[in-house]
Amino acid sequence: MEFIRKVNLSLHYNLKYNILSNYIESESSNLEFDEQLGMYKPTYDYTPNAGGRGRGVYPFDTIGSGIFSTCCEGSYIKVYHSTGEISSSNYNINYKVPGVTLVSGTDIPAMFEYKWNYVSVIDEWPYVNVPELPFILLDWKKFNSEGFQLGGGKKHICNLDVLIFGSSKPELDDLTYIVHEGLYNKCLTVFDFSGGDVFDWSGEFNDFFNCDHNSEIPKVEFNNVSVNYLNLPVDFNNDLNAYRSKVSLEIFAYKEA
Amino acid sequence: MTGKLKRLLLKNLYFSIQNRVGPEVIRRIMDKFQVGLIGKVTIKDPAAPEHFKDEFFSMLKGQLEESLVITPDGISFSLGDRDKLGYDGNVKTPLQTMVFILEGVLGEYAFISPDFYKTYKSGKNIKFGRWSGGFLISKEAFFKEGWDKRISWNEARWGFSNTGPINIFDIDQSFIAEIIDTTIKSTIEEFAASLRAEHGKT
Repeated sequence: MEFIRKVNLSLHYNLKYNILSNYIESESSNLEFDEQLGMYKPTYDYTPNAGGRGRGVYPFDTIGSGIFSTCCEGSYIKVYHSTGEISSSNYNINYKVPGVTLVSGTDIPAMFEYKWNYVSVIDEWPYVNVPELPFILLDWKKFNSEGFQLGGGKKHICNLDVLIFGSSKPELDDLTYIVHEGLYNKCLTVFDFSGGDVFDWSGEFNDFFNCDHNSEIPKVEFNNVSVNYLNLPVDFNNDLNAYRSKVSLEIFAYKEA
Repeated sequence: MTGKLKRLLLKNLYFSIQNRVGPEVIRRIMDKFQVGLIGKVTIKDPAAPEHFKDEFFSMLKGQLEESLVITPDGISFSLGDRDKLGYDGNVKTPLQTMVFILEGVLGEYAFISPDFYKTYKSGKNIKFGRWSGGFLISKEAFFKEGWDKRISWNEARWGFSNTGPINIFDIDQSFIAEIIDTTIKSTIEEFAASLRAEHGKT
């Protein structure tokens, strides 16, 4: 994994788990077996649901103490059968689908309690599979390097737009303010992801995940953070584009020779 | 630097920016406009950027003239001012539709022209009002309202559906330094020649 990807992932999780931590919701849902996936999936009665693109189940025990509050899988999620709780050693959690896979025991999962991200965060324009509102997308505009000292030192500069799509004006106002405050005059810890991303390819917690910082460039700084509302001439109040804003910023970091 | 040389340099730089840099920046923006926006939707669509091209070009030229100033820090100008482009939804300008496209349009839409609407509605005499030029409907509504029985989705799909932001203002600016360098060199030569002429006279 290279520098840009590490910054992208670190910022993605900073938004999702740290800056937007007030938007992590607690929920309990009944479970139903999905034969195709071979796991027990929640039967949602709310919109948007936890299984949407850019959302998912929150994996750590505590919320709001840094990007990754701990570096190992939390144990707060409870799975119940018809009469009691199922031991956590009997199942695995799929954080992306989400769902519960039984690995031992005979108790049938019937309900689970979990936390999930109400605001979807994605790292590209959703050409396919547009998330349900509200969502935030990271639109990387430019990457450039320039010299900053005699020798081989470099200054990396990225330009980024954080596009915010709300489902109503009050929601847009709140999200815009929170994202701006979370980035203005702040810097970002760049994680190394040497053991891979938080989740593995299937959506389960990656046991090799660690919180090591990137040794070469451990942090990047934010500059010129500004907000623009995009009052686009949309006539449909239920349109995806009706409530939009854009937080633009420059990200820079120095790399010693 | 003598006051005379400084004045001459400012005059020549201002002239270069007004007549070479500015027009070249506008030409490059218009090139991007052409590549990114033209020919994507039918010309019958009132939102087609073809309809705004001339106005956009005039706006850029006007902005160059209005914003080109000499300040204590140097010479500056700005193009693509947000207000003039119509970013404020409360102020209606014809360029607003273009802003909508430049910032990216999320979701899939179909364009329904008035002619097609009349045909579909069995030639009823319909007053279109503000929809006189046609209108966009979402993909969901397109199928729900049965438009697909008359025209295929691919034919009706609006060309800017689900298109990400198009940054036509992000141009290669390396040519500006070249023009400035050339202007400075020629100004120094001009100044040296004038000095020689003066000394020659005395």
